[in-house]
Amino acid sequence: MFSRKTDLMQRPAWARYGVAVGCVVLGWLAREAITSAIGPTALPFISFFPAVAMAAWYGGLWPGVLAVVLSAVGANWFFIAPARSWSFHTHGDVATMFAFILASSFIIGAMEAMHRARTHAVADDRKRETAELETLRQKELLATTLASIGDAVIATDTEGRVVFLNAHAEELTGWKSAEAAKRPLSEVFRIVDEKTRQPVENPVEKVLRLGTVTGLANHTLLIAKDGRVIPVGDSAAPIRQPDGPLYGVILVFRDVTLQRNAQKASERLAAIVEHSGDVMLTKNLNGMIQTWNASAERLFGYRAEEIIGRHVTVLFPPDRLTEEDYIMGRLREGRHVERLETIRVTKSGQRIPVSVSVSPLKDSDGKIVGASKIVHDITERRRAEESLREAHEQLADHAGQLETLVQERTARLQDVVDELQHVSYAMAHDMRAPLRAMNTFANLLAEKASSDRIDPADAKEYTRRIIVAAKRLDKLIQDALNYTKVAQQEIPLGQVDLSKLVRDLIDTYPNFHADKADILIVNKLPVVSGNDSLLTQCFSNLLGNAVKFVAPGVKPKVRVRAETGNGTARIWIEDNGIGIPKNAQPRLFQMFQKLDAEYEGTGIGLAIVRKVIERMGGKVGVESERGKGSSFWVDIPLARGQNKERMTNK
Amino acid sequence: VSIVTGPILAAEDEETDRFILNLAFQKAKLPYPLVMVRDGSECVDYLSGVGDFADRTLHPLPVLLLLDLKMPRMHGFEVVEWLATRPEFKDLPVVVLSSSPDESDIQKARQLGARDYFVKPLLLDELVKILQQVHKRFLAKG
Repeated sequence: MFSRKTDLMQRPAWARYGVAVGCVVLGWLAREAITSAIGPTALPFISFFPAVAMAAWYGGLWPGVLAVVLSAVGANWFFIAPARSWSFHTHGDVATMFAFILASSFIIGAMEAMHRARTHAVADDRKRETAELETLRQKELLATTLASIGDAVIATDTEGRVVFLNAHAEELTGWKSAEAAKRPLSEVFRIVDEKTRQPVENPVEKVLRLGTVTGLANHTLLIAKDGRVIPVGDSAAPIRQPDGPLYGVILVFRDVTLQRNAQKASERLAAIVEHSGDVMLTKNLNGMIQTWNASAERLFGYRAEEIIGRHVTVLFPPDRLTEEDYIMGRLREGRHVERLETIRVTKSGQRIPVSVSVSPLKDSDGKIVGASKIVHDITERRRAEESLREAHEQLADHAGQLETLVQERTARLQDVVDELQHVSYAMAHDMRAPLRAMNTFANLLAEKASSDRIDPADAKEYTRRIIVAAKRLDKLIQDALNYTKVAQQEIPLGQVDLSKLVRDLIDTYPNFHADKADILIVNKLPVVSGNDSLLTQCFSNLLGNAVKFVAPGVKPKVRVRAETGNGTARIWIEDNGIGIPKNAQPRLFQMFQKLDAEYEGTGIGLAIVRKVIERMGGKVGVESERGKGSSFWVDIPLARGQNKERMTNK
Repeated sequence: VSIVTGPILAAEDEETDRFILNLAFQKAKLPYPLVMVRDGSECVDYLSGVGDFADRTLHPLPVLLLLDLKMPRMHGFEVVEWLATRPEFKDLPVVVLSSSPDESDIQKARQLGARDYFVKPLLLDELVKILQQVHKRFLAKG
């Protein structure tokens, strides 16, 4: 094609001008060749016309002009008379020359016109060829594009008949492009509603009807030729000539299974979060709340639309704002905050104990973009813990009380055991003595009576001793019982006026009367908390000892005085008696301890005093020296209201 | 029976028991005099030879001590403890004659240095036997 349509201008200049010169030379040789036949000057230009024509045809305008000039010069020199000169013989020759130039100009003009026409034709050809090529290219490009496009594409004609399916469309519909061609689209592209399973309107028909781009309804299922059901999303567009009528519809669709699954999964996750019983929220790195579930609304009272976009610290009590710095610090390091137990504030301002867990939220590139928070209301747990703690305390209290009770009971039991030991000790020692005496003297009497050698004086003495021993045994038994009673019985406490008690004692017992003893109450004795009859017994014993243990012939002198302080009264009973050696003092208040064999008694009086006073919460003691008298003291709790007013009593 | 040796000393606070002991001693016919003191304190005074007991011709040192435990002013144990501090009495046999059958009292008496321990018997004849046994064991020559 290109060879036929070679452009004149594409020939090199030298060739065009060379050919012009060559043609003129050939024209000259041809004229010379016929000179012998027609004469040297006849028809001087005859062979130059073809030369000019040839030069103009081959070389164009200017090579043609060159050939005319060379031909004119050559013909004038060689073939116009006079030969070999530039001059003309006749006007006819000049006219001939002029005619030659004129004719040649026409020839060149014609040639040039011919050349111009051809050049135009070549340009047109080329343009057309380029356009065709472009069209072809575009077609190929479109075909390739359609074929390789990621979406399925079906093209139809204006009747809605399938023209073309690309590879994806073939794959999804199960139809090959060739077999689908000319079939109605509804046959190849069968779509139904996902829920109702009813056929939905064919998008192409809609485009044809409306003439505009249309999209598929959501939830559309494509039923493939082989029966596969594929969720699809699509759009259809009319194909128009530029500004021209519709000549088809292009339908683009895609398999949205993955997209649908992803969407479902994401919806499921969203539903899980939304309906979770746990409070969940997310925030961005600036701390702005991004999501807020139903439980969060229930706990904090804010609706999602009023809290989203606000800073998370609206939920913080003012004294805990620094926690956010801590949390954000952890998050920036990509670390979690697990079960931070703290306080948050509801919309209504109520403070609630919560456990907060915070995890960084990362985008698909792994960059931290925010945080998710799970908040547990631990009010109940706190309450339970509190109850548990209280229960523990109560239990500990009870255990403590029980312990105390056990100790008290144990001590009480120990007391009882001690008393029993005392009594049994008394049995072993003191009670056996009179028994032994009775036994011995009774036997002696029996022996002597049987041998008839009985001395009446001896008999009398033995009998007397038996009677004394029996009396003593009786006294011991009485005292032991008395002591046991004091040690065991309940002691009802009351207010006892000691002044009155002591005066009554002095009045009652003859041994305490002024003719037998000088008993002086030095100061007013206080009112104490105690048991009247036991205190009477106690002071009776003490005063009795005081007047009893005096050296023979000495009139007892006894001073009774009181000291008070610190809620206690100390009553002193000071005598002028025989005194008690230091080494005997520790045993003094024990049961059946007699200090002096010369003085009558069972040794139980002071044991009873000690027992009585101790059981009323007091103490007893003695300060004494042998031969220098004794000072017994008893401490007794003051009656209520007796403390201050008696402080100064001495 | 000439008094060539010391007496047997008995410390006993109960007057009745002293009477009985005296009867038993006569019945036992021991070749020693019996001297009585009324409590631990008096016993120590006698042994030390102080106060009323300063005259050793009237109150010679005993050859054996019969000791009651539970006595006023000074307990029998205190007497034994006191004796242990006196080297001059290390050869004086101490025999406890007590009302107490308590094993703890018996143990303590032995521990402190008493050579024997008898619980006071109910019958006079038994006390006579105890005295004869004590004599045989600690005082009989050969």
